[in-house]
Amino acid sequence: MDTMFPFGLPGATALYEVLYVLTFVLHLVLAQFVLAGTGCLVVLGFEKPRPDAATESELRDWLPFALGGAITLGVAPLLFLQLLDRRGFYTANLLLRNRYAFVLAALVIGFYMLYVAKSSRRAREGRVLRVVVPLLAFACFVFTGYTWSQNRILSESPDTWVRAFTGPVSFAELLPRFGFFAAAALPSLALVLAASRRDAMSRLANIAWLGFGLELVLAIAYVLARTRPLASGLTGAWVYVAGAAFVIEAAAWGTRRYGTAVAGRFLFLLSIAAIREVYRLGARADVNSQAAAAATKGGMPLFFVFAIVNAALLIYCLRRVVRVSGESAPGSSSEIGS
Amino acid sequence: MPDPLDFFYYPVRDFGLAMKGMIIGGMGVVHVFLAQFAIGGGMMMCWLQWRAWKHDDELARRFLDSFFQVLVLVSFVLGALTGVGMWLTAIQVSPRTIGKMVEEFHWIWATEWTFFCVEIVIGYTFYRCHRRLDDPTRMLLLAVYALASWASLFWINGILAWMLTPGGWSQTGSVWAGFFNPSFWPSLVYRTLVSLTLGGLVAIVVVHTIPGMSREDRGKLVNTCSLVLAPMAVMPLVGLWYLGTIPPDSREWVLGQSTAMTMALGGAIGASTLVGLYVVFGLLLGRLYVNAATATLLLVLAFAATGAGELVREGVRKPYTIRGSLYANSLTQADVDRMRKIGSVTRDPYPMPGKFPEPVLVTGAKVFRLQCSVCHTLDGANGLDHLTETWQPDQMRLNIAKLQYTKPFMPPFAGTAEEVEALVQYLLWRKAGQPQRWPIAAGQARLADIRRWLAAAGTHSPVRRTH
Repeated sequence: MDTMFPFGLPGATALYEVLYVLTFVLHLVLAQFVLAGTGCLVVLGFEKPRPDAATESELRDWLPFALGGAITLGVAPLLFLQLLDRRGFYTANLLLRNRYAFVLAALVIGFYMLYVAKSSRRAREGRVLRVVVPLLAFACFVFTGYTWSQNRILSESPDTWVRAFTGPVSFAELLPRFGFFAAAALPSLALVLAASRRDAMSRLANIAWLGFGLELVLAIAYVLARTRPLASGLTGAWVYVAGAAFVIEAAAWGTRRYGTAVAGRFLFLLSIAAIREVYRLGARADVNSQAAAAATKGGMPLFFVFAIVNAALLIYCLRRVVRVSGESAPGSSSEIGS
Repeated sequence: MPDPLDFFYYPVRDFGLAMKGMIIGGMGVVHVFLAQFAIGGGMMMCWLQWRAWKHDDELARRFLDSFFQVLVLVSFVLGALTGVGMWLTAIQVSPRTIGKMVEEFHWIWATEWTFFCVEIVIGYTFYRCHRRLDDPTRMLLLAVYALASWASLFWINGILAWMLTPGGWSQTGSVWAGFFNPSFWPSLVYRTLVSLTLGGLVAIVVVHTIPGMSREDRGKLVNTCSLVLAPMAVMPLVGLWYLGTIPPDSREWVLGQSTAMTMALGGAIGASTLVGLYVVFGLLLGRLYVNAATATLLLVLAFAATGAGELVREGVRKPYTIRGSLYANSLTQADVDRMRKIGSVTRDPYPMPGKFPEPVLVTGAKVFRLQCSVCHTLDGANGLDHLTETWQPDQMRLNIAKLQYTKPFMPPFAGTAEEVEALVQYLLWRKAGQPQRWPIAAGQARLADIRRWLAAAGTHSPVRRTH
């Protein structure tokens, strides 16, 4: 691939790749918030409960919804993925055998643990349950993320499929790869938390800086651990964009510029998603033919029309809710189930 | 691993004694039940909110809050996850089928996803903020929620109905001809009625979970919730309409020709009838009070009816999984034609685990894995060991070579005479207790017979391809 992704790709591949990358990044932001937020709850669980702990109560309050959102937003990239790399994705799923069922079970358990962490007084204040409940949820989400990383690497490694059919195949880059995405969750979490409390940016910057350090170390470990050849895209423009975004975001945290940090993070995640795809395009020869076959099917205008109409409908409803709830109970934050 | 013959071999999963249909069916029934409950629940809440707003029904308002929590906790998470689970399970069972569905209808699915997003966001918004909202805004949110969840059904229904009655798609390949297929409307109406029923029945169960409510108030709420069950009365008519739109051979199977399918249909009708009679005569006309146990029993019956109905819907597609396009074993007609000439498993790269005394048995096991294992096990549910137990070797050869005539709901055998023989040897070897030595005679005359039978049967299913 000589030109910057997705330019230079056949039209069908480019269309599905763009849709995949954009929807994947949206999903990734919420998934990272859930993973890092749950991990944060585990750490906070070791401290004594404090009624004024805003970060903790915010996490407990929002994590179940964020998980629901992450799952919902995960449907679209899963759909577009099946158009781009059906054979690789399906084969990897089949080779991982019952893992898909365990992932589903893990997500169900994870959700209900988050809900318990939010709604049960014992889980909020009990010495043991304060740690155990979020820890269980955290383990479920780690397992889910790890499995998706494994699935992805396997799908890009057709030379290992026959071996994987008869026994487990290990990939040296699996742990650093998953670790990188998990570490990248920390700056995302810090940004989400800072959205409602800019005054806490100094404290939250510590979480972000920890994430930056781990991201850097694990990215290097990943590159060193790879046994398969790196696609040419790794040296392409998106690596420079990722690097620039990383620096911009780090600098924005240093100077407490929230908007710039958000832009930097979004660009960074977008770059990572793009680089992932360049790898896939380098590893799987049949992506273009699968995308081209899919592009002959009708219905595309329908999707874009309803995407716009439904987005407008959502905005209208949410604006009305904000207006009405503000009028009826100014300053109120009473919510059911919390 | 692209195959020069354009056939891509996926690794095939083995679920032991369980039929793959049980795996996908189990997940499917739970998902359909939860998804339809979410849809009916949305309509139910609109009805309750309308009563609270226009009739100042405080009881309805109070109940709505409890009901919505159940909807969020059960349906949003389990419903969404089992939806994704359906994709993942379908991949385990038949990757080519789900791949074909996604390829043909991905824009429809993507459109459905936009409605799903609306459903989830509006649902959570209502969940978090409803106490602070005025009645018109509450009504707006619930109406949008109900509409979005029903729209999800609208889009998915077209894809599911297409699998049995692809309609004009078979000739033109048009997505819209496939989407608005012959069974689209009856299926949509029927599923909408089922959704309303499930929403109403769950609501009646939830009435009994609200603490501190008097029996009188519970009785009033049961009567209010029962009203959304009234459309159930037309379900038999819509069911007949649906039956009228499905292919004649499928209809014949559920009306007596296939014992299993007929029993499943009977179960669905029986359970639905019991619920319907209780609803009409007990709840709507008799205005009876329903206690928690009875309400739960009605819900269990509705679950049974849903399960049996889905089983029928899945089963009547045979020998196809997508009628006229993909056989139940995920092979296309073109695959069958080609594999008759060049064999079905000689290019299968995945090894056959286990010890076999003769290579021909490996071939036979691979043929079973590729062509049979999607619907059959060896010695578990729908096991071939049992089904072929009484067949003599030559009868077995004849029956497999002419498979689509032996049983019209079976697809044609996709392979060479040598592969028929390999499969027969494999089954006979298993019948003999898998001995360590298995001498096989050359048997050219035997192969000539099989070739003759294969040629006589042809490569097509006698079941009409289109509908």
